[in-house]
Amino acid sequence: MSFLRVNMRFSQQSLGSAVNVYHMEYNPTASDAAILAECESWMEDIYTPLRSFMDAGCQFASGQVLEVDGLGFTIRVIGSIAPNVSGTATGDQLALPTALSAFVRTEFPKVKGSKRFPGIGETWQTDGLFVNTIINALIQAVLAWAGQRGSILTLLWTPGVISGQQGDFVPFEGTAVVTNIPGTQVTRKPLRGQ
Amino acid sequence: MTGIKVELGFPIDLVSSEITALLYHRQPDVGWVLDGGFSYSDVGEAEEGLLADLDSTYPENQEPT
Repeated sequence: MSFLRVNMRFSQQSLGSAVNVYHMEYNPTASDAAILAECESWMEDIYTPLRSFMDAGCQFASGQVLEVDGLGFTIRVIGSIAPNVSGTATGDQLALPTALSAFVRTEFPKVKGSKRFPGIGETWQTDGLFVNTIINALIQAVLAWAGQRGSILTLLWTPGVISGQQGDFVPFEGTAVVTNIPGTQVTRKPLRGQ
Repeated sequence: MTGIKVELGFPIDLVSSEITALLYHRQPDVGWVLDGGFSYSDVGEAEEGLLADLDSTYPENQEPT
């Protein structure tokens, strides 16, 4: 059994870069072109609600789609995608390690998918907490990230995580948590860890 | 400002489209306290309704003017 990994890299100019990684079980009969089209559409569904809250300095840099096994090892590179996901907000950006955070549960209590969305504008927090408007956008993004895609009658694309504990891909189970308390992300200096 | 948490329930089978949301607030020395729950018939309704429900439940967390 093989799965998809989508690596989304954002450039934050001289500040460094941020990476979000997604996993999905997919219909193995799909062509590479169909996989790339679906992944590009998936990423745009996730980031479109967030773009107006992401600073214009947080620009999409690269999107790579890989086929991986249940342990997360790369089988092959399927190709690249270029979704329209760059930030558009003006004004100051929050401190670099600050991010919108959310997690989605699986059937295993200690196995969950977490996400930190980077580049959020300062306008959208007050007294250290995010305002309701951006929480609502985050909810839309999480539903797009974790909801099953496609049609039962045609193709099914099931998001989830590669679990080190389970040693396999684990699909999401239908509940997620978002909060207005900012999360933190590990930052990388330019050209480090790439 | 109040620390809030929204726990979402969403369909994974594409048969049901109902989205549920449980709203919590952070209470000092207590933790997360459940304020109430909402349900929406689909994602589109949830996108509209959740913001209104958040604003009515936690007005101090509205967008700054």
